[in-house]
Parts: sequence; structure tokens; C-alpha cells
Amino acid sequence: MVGNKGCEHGEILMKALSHFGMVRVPRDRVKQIFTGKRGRQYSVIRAEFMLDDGQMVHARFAYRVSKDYGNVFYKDYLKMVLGDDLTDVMGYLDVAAEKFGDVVEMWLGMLDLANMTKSQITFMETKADPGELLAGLEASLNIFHGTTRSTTTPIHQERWIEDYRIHEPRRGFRELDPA
Amino acid sequence: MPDIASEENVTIHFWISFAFLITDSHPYHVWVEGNFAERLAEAVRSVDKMATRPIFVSLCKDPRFHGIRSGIQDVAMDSADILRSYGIMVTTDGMWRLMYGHAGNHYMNNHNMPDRLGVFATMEKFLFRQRVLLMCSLNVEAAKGLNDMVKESSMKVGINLELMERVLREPSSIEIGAGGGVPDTASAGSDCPGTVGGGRRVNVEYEKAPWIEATVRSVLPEPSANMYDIWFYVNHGRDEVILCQKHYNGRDDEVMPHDFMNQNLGYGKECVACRASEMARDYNLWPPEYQRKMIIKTAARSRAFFNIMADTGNAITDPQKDFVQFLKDISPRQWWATRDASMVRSS
Repeated sequence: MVGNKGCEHGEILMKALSHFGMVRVPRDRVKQIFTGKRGRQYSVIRAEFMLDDGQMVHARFAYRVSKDYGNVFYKDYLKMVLGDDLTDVMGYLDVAAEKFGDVVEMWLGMLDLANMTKSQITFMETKADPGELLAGLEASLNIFHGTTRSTTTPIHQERWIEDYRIHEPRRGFRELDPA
Repeated sequence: MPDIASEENVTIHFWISFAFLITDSHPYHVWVEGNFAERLAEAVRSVDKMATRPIFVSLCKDPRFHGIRSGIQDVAMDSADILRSYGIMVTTDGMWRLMYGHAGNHYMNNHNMPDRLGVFATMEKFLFRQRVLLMCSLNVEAAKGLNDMVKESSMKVGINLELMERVLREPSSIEIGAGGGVPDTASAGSDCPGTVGGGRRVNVEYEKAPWIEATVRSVLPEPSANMYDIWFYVNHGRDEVILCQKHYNGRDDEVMPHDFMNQNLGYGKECVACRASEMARDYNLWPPEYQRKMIIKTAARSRAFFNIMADTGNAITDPQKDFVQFLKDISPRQWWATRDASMVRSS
């Protein structure tokens, strides 16, 4: 819909929505991630908010951790979910993984926006809570991720290796060489 | 009539349409600061303190005048509540509704330059009404005399009665703003009681442009962090397992200056605060206030696209009814097919 050629500026909107598309991580998994020193594989954004303890209001920071599973994973996921409908949805065969990634990310981003703005804007013509739809989609992605072999795009692998090279020497000790 | 040159004889009237909040941008993009209503009320109150007479405030909460329902209406109501708590006379009905009825919304007033007589006449009428109200509140005996004066001689009250009656006749040819409708003249006539020179319009139906239905009920920014969106609070005195040794101080984080918590100490693997700073550095993430605006703006645009597609006969399927069809509806297959075909041709 939003990338439809007949819809003016649809392509821009599709890309804007996909920028919001990541799988959120609940707090208990955040502890596991950072305890296991895997923080750099995740995106963390920070926002200031006012914490009211009943007596005083304090300025605090809130964090949100999310995961980009990568286009290859999203392609596998869509193949599993859609089956024979995949070609019909994507329009033609042999679609690049990036396009699958854009679809899933746009989908995630749209639901996330609908959830965050549901008190102000209703743009999905459904009675379902967009937050529940989003949680269901994320749960589905997480289950699929846990039951399949981990696939990563080359750019992610390069980023992790680069992170290791840049940041580890700065900490003053060396871990085992991942190679 | 008394000489109004002296300051103590001046009555101050505020007529605030809030159209200045819209300016040239789309009404979806109207943003006001969180304490705008309070600051506005304080500004009016400061004038009220200096004035020797009671002041009148007319706030516009009529979405038709703005062309769209938006957070402006909430701002008007909040401001009115605060002003009333200060003991200031406030009205949110009548004047701006009539203004819209006589001259359309503010786009019409500002851009299409319609006959301004209706606007000025509406203002003058309300000025007179409020003057009568003021005199009634100060001197009950004078009220009847003032009502008689406006009929006997326009010179005595500064109003040209003939002109007012002429311009306040129900307009039959003025277009009504973005809605494109015309006033329901059947419901009121020039000889109806209730107003000077014209009847009060009690039942007006207007057509609305489709995008008006994309209602933004409130555009006041909300905190972006809330528990429903899986944001979580990190206590710098307790959450040792997700903070590095420098960010964790064993005490409550009231003693932690913000600039220190925003620092990247190089422990992004194991410290959520360091990782957040890394992300802000590497990807130049926008400030939270701007981020929230982007979220609302993008959601509003999405809503507009849903409406446009529905209007063109390509309504998006309810995901609860047919999920695969919903996915097909939102998938950008046509754009890809067109773009890739052009790339193949060019190569």
C-alpha cells in the first residue's frame, strides 16, 4: 500500500515506517544480553522521563532495547509464514532479501507507531489492540529465531568484528581471539 | 457617552482564534508546548491584574474554524478552565462559531480574501454583547438603557446599526472553507429573535473534506517512555548487572549528573548506558522531543494514506479478518516491480 506507485510519496513513507521496525526486547532478556556481553548486537535508545514516586518527581532515563534480525532472517520468516502466497505478496519471484526486510520492518514499524499513538490516532481499521498485534508478531519472530539456525547478513558480521577490534583494546584486556 | 480616552474607561477584550498555531503547515503538524495553556492563561491574567475593569476572553474551540479537529481545541478548553479559575470571564462558544458561519474558516479569511464585512460585524456584535454584559454586571439599571440606545441611535454606542444589519444578514453565497458546504440558511432568518440584525444559527450541517476525518484528537506531546512500549527504567543504584562499574554507583541515580550518564565509557557490550550513548553517537539519533514528533507525524501520515487508499477503492483489509490479504494490501509490490523493471531496462 504505502509503496504503491500510484500513491504519492508512498515510497518515502514506507522507508520511514521501516526505520521504526525492530523487535523489542523485554527487560528480563536485557539482563541476559548485557550479562552475556552481547549488548552491541542490539540497539538501545534512551529517553528522559519524569518518575513520580508520590512525593517528588525525579528526572530519570528510560531505555529501550531492540533487535534487528537482518534481512536474510526476515526472508526466511516470510517464506515460512506466507508459503505459496509469498510470490503474490511480493509481486514476482526471486526478490532480494532487502525487500523482504523492508516489508517486515515496515510491518513492525507500522504496528509500533499504531501502538505508541493509539491514544491519539487510529489508523488501522481493526478493533484489535495494535500493541497486542505487535507483541504477537514479535513473539512469532522470536520463536522462529529460536527454532532456526541463526542467519546473519554480512554487514552485521562485519560490524561485530569491527566492534571487537575497536573496543576491546580500549578496555585494557584481551579476550580469546574469536577466530 | 463618557470620554474613553482615559485608561480606566477602557475594557479589554481578547479574541483568540489560535489560528496562529497552524501557520502555513498542515494542521496535523500543529505542536504546542506542554505548558502552553498555563502560560497563555498567565499572560492574560497579567493583563487582567493591570486592567481596572473586568476583561473578556473569547477562545476558539470550534474545529470548523481551523479546518480540522486537532489539539488546538484541547488547548482552548484547558486555557478556559484555568482562566475561569482565576475569575476571568471566558467564552468558548458563539463568537468563533458565528465567525465561521459568516466568513468560513481561517484559510478563507487569510488566503481567499472574502468580504471582510461579515468578520468585522461579528466582532462588533460580540463587542457590543460583552459591553452590555459588563454594564449589566456593574450597573443593573444601565442594562435596559444600553439595549435601547443601540436601537435608537448608532452614534451613541459607536455602531452603525444600518451597516450592521446589512452585513449581518444571512450570507447565501459565501463558501464555507475547506468543507465546501454552504450555510444552512433554512434554519435561520434575518427576522429571527436573539441577535441584532440576524438570527442565531442553531443547526448547521457541513460537509467535511476526507482528510479532516483523520482525527488527531490531541497533539500535545506525551512522554515517549512508558511501560506499555517496553521501555524500562534503569536504577543506577540497583541494576548492577546491566551497568558498567563506572555507571553503577551503588546509590540512587539522583546523584548522577545527566551528562555523566550520557557518556560512552566504552562498555557497550555489557552496559546499557554506554550502548545507548554509542547508538546516539553512531547513528546520530534525534533528541527525544523531536523523536516523539516524528512518531506522531509518521502515524498521521499513515492514517492519511489509509484514508486515501480507502477513497480510491483499495481499502486495507482488517488484519483480524484476513491476515494474508492485509499483508498483500500493505506490501509495496507495485513500486518494486516498476522500479526493478526500469533498472533492468537501464542495465
